[in-house]
Amino acid sequence: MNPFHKYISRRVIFAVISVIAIISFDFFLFRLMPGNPILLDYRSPALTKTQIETLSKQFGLNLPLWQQYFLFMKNTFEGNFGISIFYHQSVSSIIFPALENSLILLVPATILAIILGILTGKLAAWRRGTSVDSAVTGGSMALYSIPTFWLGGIFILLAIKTKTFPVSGMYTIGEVFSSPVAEFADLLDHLILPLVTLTLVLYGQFTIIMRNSLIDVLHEDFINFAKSKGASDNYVLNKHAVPNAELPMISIIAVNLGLTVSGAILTETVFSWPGIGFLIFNAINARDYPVLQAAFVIVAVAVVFANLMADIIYSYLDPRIRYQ
Amino acid sequence: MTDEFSPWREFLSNKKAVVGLVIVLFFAFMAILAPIVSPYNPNTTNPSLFLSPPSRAHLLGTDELGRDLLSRDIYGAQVSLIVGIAAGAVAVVIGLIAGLISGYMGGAVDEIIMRIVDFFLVIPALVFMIIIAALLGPSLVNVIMVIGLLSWAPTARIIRSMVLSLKEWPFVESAKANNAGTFYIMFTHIFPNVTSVLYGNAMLAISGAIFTQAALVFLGVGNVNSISWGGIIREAYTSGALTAGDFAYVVPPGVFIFALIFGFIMMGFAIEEIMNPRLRSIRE
Amino acid sequence: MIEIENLTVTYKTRSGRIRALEDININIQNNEIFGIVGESGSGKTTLAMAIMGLLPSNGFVENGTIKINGKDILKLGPEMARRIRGRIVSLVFQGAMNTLNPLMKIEDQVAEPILIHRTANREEAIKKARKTLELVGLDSYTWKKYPHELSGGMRQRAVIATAMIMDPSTIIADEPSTALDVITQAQIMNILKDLQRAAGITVIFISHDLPLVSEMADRIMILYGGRPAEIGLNKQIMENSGHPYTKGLINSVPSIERRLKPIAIPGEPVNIKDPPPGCRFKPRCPIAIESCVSYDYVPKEPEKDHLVFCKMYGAE
Repeated sequence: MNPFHKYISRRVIFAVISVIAIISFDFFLFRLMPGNPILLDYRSPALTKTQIETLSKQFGLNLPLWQQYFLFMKNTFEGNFGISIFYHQSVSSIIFPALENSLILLVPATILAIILGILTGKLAAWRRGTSVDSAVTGGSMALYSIPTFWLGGIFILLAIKTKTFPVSGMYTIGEVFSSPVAEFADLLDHLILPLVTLTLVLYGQFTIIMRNSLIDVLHEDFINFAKSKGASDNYVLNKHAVPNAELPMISIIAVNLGLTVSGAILTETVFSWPGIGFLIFNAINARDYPVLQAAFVIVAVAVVFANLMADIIYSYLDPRIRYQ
Repeated sequence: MTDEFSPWREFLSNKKAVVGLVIVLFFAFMAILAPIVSPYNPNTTNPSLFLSPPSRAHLLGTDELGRDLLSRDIYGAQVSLIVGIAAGAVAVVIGLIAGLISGYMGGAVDEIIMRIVDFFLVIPALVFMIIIAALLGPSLVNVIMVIGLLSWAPTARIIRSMVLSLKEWPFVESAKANNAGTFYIMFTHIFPNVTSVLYGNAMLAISGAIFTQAALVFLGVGNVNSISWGGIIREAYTSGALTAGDFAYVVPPGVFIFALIFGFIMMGFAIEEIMNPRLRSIRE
Repeated sequence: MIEIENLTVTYKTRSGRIRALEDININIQNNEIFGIVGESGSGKTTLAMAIMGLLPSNGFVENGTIKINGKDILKLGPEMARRIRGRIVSLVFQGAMNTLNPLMKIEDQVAEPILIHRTANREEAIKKARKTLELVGLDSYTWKKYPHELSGGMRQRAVIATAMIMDPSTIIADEPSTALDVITQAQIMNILKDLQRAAGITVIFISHDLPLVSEMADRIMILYGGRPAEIGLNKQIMENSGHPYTKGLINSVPSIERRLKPIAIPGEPVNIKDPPPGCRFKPRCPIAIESCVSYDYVPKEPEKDHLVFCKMYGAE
């Protein structure tokens, strides 16, 4: 096994261990918390007798703790998270659609924020020390400091006053759509405000990351070397500096995925966007612990997985790792 | 070659730092002098004044329980500063210790600690905090601990890389040659030189904690029973004031959160700027 | 032919203006190997950067001209200056880890000047790059590799190949072998010598290492504190040096031939932020007298082509 494969397998092993740690922590958290929330929930009057019986069997609610632990592991890997107290359905039938809705919001926002962040970060780094740089850096720090949920609220306020965009949900409730295009248009209509909110918040962060990364790169020796070949400033910036700055950006963004998820959760809650963040918010209010327990695992594992993907992509792109 | 480097003077001559400091001091005074400065008792309810708009008597109007919003906004500074600084301190102290030990010891200890740090960096902290805080119940101490215990990883990483480069310096070699103990070296030689990175990082940790506390209260977990800006924004939603278009309710708390975070971030960036070239003048 | 007249290069810093070079006058002939020797702070790298037009943003030419074949390159606009860079005059950097872009293959980086100056298409550029790489002793095994896969010596050869590929008339080599071990250093020196002889290029060789420079240079200039100390033919400098600093440099190197203990030059390098008045070497000079503080850098000429910038020279 060459060094590169060894590197990849190390990352994969770390991801697997992280996932197991997350699931274990989840199990103990909900079992050992004061009041033993999960067990209480599984005796809730909201569930039917058959449901309680099935749950008892699947999760071994009368078995010793260590056996419950392994059953929990097994169930988690199979996607069985029990039954939601609030929705009276299996948790998985609620969570995965919610996850999908979250991605519809998250993915475009992240991509937009990265693209815009690279552009302005480049501008700020290249014109370092000038008023352009101060403006961009100051603006980005300001965006980074604005509380997501408040920004969304302001947009909602303005949208209601100006009657421009819908401020809650993913589709207009009760609407019957004449065609898929009409349905998609309605989705976009609802997507705009939360998308803009989330993108703005992420964009500030990514700009600063790109700017700092690029400034570091511009101090490297190979930049002067490239200039000494007679290259124009633009050429040096775009062909030499930016590619080298984008690389560490991948890993920094990956590490900050946790923050991206937080932003998404807050944005969803504010706009009642039916994603996993909104689900968590409602589950907390309803004390729907099976849903919380599942959301905990799903979101954490998704982030670990996304991180792993970013790691692997990075190691393919950086020749220093690829060809060790 | 000694540098005439006085950290305070450098700090005060940096524009970003001064702006940040002024902002933070402004809110600090707001918090300390709240009982004096606020026009009303923030908890006094008056149902007849349900969601009244700004007036001479109540500059920002009142909330759904008739409480004066301006007073509530002023008192909100207390929680943000207390939680922000306390949680930030917890995170930084844990991160500092972890980074020092990991960086200096190296070997298996380093590997294990770094894997744990990586784990804490990867997991979505807010999700964890929401759920744990929900389970623990509302309390100031709970909030501080939850935030602090989940935010130490970035500090640990930065401290560790600092320590790794400091380890190579000759004064460490000579201390070792003089039979100095591990902990002795760590605290008397390495630690003072790590403080440069520490302060900048602490500012960022505090600003993160302020945001997180507001977010948690907004979502309905954390110390919901105290007056805090996140709570006021939440109440703007739940009372219907937001959808009714009540700017005076929802705008000021958000602006305050923004300003306080911005102040700390400015100071943090300024410290980083100042300390960066200085990283080379190590005090032996 | 390179003529530098009254060159003064200044840096703007927070603690005021620093004159890294003051009133430098050099005439370099075609096909000559001209050595510039000085310690750090002497201004030698500034000189290289000034000729290349690569001074940092806070550096500027306060006074003087740099003429290449009669044309003052300092008066050229940035576009014209760019056309000279890497094509007519090229630079070999100190062999640092990061001189080459870690994300680009070797042959692409060596071929780059051709593509930048648009003198051929990509296919021909790669072909020429490979040929040039072979000339410096890097065979096909290295062409498609990334910089981190090569040793320091190999990377430095690639840098030399990059400087050579446009067939420049002048190469400035700034500490080309300093970061390398002695054996690799010797290899790099031989490559430079061979290339110079074969292609008839003017070489400006900059280093702090006088014996190293004297292995190769036809003429040598000793620089101290941004001002000249001595200029002369190789033999003159090494066997008949006039300036106390030059003598100090020669004596401070252990030598098998001389069998004498090396003698270090006392004192610290000059502080160019606040240079001493008159002769910059006076504070460390063994033969200085009080009136050296009013020295005006008018040289003495003990023999043809040999200039000594010392007031005390010959005044025994």
